[in-house]
Amino acid sequence: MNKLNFLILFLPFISSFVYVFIFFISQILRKKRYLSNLIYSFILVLIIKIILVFNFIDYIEFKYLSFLFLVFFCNGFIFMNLIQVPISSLQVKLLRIIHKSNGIKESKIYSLYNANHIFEERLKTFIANKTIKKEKSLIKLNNKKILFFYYLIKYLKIIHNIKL
Amino acid sequence: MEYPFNFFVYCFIYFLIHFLTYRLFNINISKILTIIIIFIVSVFLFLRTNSPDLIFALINFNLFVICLYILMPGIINNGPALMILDIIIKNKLHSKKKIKLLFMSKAFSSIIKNRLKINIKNNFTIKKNNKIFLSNKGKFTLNFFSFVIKIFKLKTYE
Repeated sequence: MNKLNFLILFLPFISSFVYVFIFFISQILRKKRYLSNLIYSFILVLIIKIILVFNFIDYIEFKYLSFLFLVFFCNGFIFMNLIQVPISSLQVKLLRIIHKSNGIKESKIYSLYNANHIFEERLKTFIANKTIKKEKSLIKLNNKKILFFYYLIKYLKIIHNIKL
Repeated sequence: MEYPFNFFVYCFIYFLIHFLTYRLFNINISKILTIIIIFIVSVFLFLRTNSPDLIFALINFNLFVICLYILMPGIINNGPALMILDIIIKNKLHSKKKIKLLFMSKAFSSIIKNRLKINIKNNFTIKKNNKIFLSNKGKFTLNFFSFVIKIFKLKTYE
């Protein structure tokens, strides 16, 4: 391992740290828009990375380039999920309910939190982040980008033989 | 083998094993234990070799395994957001009432029951005298996520 290898080894982790820091700052500035903060912070760091890499393109081999970006994508995915889990995970929500009541019957959980609550919460979020829109009394898909994730998960479910 | 080709080969082999064990035996190998084993083997290989290509591949491969571990619950369990999206996409234009009705018929009994079962299975909660309590693991997980919420000033569904 030479010095350049060492430097390349740490660079994607440093850029991931920068991503976390930019998200942290954007959360202070725009508290209510965590999802766009999460995505735009990632895109910003990615653009900075691309600009920096293209300035040194003559000195960087293909393998270093791949490492810089692949590791950053993996780290970004892990961080995005780390942020998303405490917000929308049903399992964490149930843990919170159980923690609050310090021992609770299963039937009580169903009365406190059920499919009705979940539906209202998720629909509200979808409308707030403009994934869907309400036109008169009808609900319509507004953001077509979500279809990419929808079909990706659906395809992964199909190959794992899991029904939606 | 040069990086990133060795990394893609490792990922392909791991995904193939994961896929076959799931399809044939219904076993999800994407678990914490798998991550730890792969990490230990990687550290061992890291210490034994001086090849930057292998080290790059191992670091990236470990991250890929963690990513798959994170992704799997989303594939195995049907999340409510995905269910709602599925209803909206399949039915094009519908009223909130109709979508809610379809959602309730799909998810009413399964959604919470399934998550409660997973929490008990993963030792996040324990069942005693017909009541559900939080285990130490559950308390630790909850404290960790509370810390994340506090640090990044996130807003949860309350």
